[in-house]
Amino acid sequence: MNAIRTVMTFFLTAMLAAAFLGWRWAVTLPSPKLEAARAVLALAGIAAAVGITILWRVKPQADR
Amino acid sequence: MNSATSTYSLPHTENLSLSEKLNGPWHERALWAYAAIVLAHWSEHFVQAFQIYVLGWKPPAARGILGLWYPELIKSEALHYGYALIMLIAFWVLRKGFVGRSRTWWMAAFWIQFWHHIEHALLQGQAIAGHNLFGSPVPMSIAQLIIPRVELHLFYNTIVTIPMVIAMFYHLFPSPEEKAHMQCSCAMHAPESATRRAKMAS
Repeated sequence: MNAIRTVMTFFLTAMLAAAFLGWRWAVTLPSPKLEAARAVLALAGIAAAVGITILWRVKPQADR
Repeated sequence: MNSATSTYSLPHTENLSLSEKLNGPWHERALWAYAAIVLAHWSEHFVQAFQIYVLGWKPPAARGILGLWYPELIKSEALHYGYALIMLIAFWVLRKGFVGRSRTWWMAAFWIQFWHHIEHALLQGQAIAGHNLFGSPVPMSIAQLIIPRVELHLFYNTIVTIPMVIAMFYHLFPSPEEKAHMQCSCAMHAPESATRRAKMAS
């Protein structure tokens, strides 16, 4: 179980990193595109972090 | 995915419809194929993000891996629309194999992808008609009016993929109740040590 969620976490972390790098780069955009790009990238980053949290909150169950 | 200790046995497939096969004995293989397509698509988006955010390429020049050799292919709206449509169809076709929590997350991903597909359909429609909306020099989707295309689609793909990943995780590790309703071989077993710990804790 942990091996699978580690692989999934690696993938979601790559999404988080892409969102973070984009958020930093967006400063080069003119307003209001800067704010819009940062808003969606922040949401993407938060979604990736929430996804990782959900994956690791699941406890292994007996009876499998 | 099922281990040697699994009680799952493949049913005879002769009398099953294609949908029943895809959501039963073929579900595991179908999900592997689907995951490979999703990962290939994501690798293009990751490379494109790297080209823009790290290497400092201009967005029109950052076309991922395939776009380095086939720039016209990546510029084609048909490719993007085709991928969005394949994802939508796969979400729908493979949904019945998911039960319980995994089904909820899978359908969340489906509905988000439904909207993503509408946006791509708008872009594809403009490419076919040869007339762009809002007087734009390039095809424009609704959200693209305020959000740059690269960031918008990075966002769309992220919020589609996250519930999809969670759905797959719950599908691989279902509760006993969920597993009792599964018709496929996708469920994996918790390691012996984890099972022992969980039994001792309960």
